[in-house]
Amino acid sequence: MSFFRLKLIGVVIIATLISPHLCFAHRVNIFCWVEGGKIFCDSKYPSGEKVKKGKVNLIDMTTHQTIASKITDNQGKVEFPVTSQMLKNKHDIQAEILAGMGHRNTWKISYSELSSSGEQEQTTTNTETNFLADQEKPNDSVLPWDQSPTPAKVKGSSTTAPACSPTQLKRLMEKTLDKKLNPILEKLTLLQERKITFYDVFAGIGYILGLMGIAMYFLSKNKQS
Amino acid sequence: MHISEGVLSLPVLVTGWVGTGLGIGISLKKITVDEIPKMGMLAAVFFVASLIHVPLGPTSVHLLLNGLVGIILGILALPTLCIALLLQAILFQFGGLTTLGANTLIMGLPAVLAGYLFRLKPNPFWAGILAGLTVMTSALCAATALALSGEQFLNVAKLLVLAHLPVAGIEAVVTFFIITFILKVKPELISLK
Repeated sequence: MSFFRLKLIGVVIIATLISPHLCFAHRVNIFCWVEGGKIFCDSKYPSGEKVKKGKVNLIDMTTHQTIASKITDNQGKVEFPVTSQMLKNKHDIQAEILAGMGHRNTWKISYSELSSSGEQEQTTTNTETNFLADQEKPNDSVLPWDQSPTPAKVKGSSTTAPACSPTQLKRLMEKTLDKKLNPILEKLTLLQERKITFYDVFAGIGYILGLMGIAMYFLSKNKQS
Repeated sequence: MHISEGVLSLPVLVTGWVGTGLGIGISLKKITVDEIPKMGMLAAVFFVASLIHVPLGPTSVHLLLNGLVGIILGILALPTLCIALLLQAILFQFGGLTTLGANTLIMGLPAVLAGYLFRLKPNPFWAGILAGLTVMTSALCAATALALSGEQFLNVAKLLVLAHLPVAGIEAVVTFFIITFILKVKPELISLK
């Protein structure tokens, strides 16, 4: 082998090693879940690498119109609020990831997911708003019985213990649970990823051998005839 | 390089299928019983090659080996790649069924061209260069297909070519060694007609 050939091979190897870091994958995955009035989307390649700066579109599956679009962050994540329009339309939604270089995948978000989370979030927000408003509302009444101190104040405590109805308490607990459960839901959703197994590989090779056998059979039949 | 479902426009999809159909039609007339085992073996190689990830700095790349398939099989690379791509689409969800025609053409046309060019000068070094060029040409074909479907050609082409530069380098080296081995051990495996 000449020196020139060796040099060229060396240049190819060096160029290969210093090439910029880019994504190499055949398939891109997107996973979505609805929690606390928000649609969370996570996108990644089968190798586990996150889709950075990929475009995520929310598409109404009935009208096929794009409702919202956002770009993923460096963690491959993006989130959309569940809007009142989504709840009003009562349509399923498709989340579409466009990762460039011809990579695309979708995830279906059913209306039932949106409605349960959206309504819950709306109620929680309303309850919380009312609750806070109640606490901050100045007492304009001049009547003596309206000026009575709260039970906490009676006991001489410096902090005021807010009066909280069971419904309000339930809603607040739900909101706290949402926050706690979100990472678990994320993990559960990501578990749905279909990974390539050895069965798939051997199945493919088996199909190829089978097709090879069929082709040889017909070609030999033709030869005989 | 496997273009997914729903990315390409209808005219590009139809052109892909027509081109692939014509190519496979022509190549099927040239199939002999002796070629079938070679096609099967190379289809399996191409099918599995995409799963072999080679660690490279902060990332990993995988092989395509369409250049090698083209060099050994010539025009028979088209049906071979079509079968392998079909199985990849079904079993691995790489690419898609509607885009199979376009994907076969993207991978197959440069491979067939490499096969013809190799027969002009059959030596391992030239085979290595052709294998590298096949990857880059496939990347440009993919960029063209995407550009015809609405994406900006220059942006996609730049991204695809840069992304496949390491693959081209590795494939050039791998093909060089494989062809060197074949020409020394079993040269009749490559019909130079």
